[in-house]
Amino acid sequence: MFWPLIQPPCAARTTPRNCLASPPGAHIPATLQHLAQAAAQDNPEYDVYAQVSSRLSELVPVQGVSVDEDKQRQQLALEIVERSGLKLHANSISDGTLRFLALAALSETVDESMVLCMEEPENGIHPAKLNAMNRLLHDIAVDAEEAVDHDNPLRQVIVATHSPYFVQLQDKDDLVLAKNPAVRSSEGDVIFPLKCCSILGSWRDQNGNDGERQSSVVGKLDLQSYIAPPEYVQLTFPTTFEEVK
Amino acid sequence: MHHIQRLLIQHGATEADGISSHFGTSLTEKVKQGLDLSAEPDLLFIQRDADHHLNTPAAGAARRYEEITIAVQSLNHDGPYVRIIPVRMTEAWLLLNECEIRRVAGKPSGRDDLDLPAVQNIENIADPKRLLEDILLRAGSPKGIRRKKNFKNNFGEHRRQLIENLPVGGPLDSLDSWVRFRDDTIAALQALGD
Repeated sequence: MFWPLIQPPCAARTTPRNCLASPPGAHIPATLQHLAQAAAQDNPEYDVYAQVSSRLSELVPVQGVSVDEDKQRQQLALEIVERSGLKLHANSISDGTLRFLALAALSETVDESMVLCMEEPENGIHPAKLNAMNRLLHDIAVDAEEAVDHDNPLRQVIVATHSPYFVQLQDKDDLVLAKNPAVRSSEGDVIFPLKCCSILGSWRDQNGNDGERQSSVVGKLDLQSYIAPPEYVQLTFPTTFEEVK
Repeated sequence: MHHIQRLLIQHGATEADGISSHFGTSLTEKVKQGLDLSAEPDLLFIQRDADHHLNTPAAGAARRYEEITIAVQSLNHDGPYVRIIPVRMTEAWLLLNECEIRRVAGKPSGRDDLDLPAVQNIENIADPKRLLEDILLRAGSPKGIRRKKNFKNNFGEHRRQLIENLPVGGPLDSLDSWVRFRDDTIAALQALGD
């Protein structure tokens, strides 16, 4: 089994090979260049760089994204032009933005079935922009309401998160809560293994033919760390008109 | 939460998981919110410290017992439930585990005399919380104004860890309030199995 590992901070500079066939390591510039070349053949009006730039604009004000090829050094460099006109190379943009860019490039690939696993997509992303990351991840995943085909490859995205906002942005059908219940071991002592639980009212919380629940189910109370203000909160948002006055 | 889980497993459960709820103001509201927000719990645990300095500990506990019964019945909840009524406060139950007190205070090998109360006097202590704070301070003996202040401010966390690691059994079995809680839990667990 081969698991490509995406490590954006190291992926800023790379050699211009077909990245889809290369060893573990996501090569953003090479990916973009490859996608642009493929699009030029299949659909010449489709501008991959403009699509990625438009996506990136949801996060930061960007005018354009391009790949600069240094033929002498055999290197590709990613270049981002801000709205202000400032040109940035990949090694001067934040990790959060670079991760977003890598995913935006990934979302442009077609015909690639995969399972994408991601840790803490919220890292390095402004809270108000978290939904941009959220929607990007949802867009990468297969559209379950449409048939699987060239434009809708079978892709599943699995995310591990500790972010209250990221959790609040999800439909309960897309959430699974990891817990550590106390369990009696075979030796008779108490252990705390990991258990994944679905949310009450979600599609996973369905009774099987025998009337028994298919999986462990949790209610809103179990999500309180993610959906209620933390204990000892000091800064709260006014919820009534009286508070604002 | 862990202590309840361990108690349940010790007495027959193969798996025990739970979540605590503090939402609501009155006791009845808190129980209602807990029920509404959770996914059909098998067992309900409702805690109220006995408090009531004016009454005897037993009278205080009896009053709380009744309060909880009335609250649950007013909600028409017919599932099994357990009343947890430490006398006079939860902190009384935390005064028995010297090893854990020293560990939580950051000096597991400390030798300072903690002057822990005798088991038979525990449920008569008027302010076990204050006493626990003093004992923790003695066990940790933080030096300097800043460290001492930070240590005292961390009482909530010390308390949380002491509850989490409450030894199920041992000296606790000498406390009436603990025994009542333990026996009620066993009975409720058996009622579930039936």
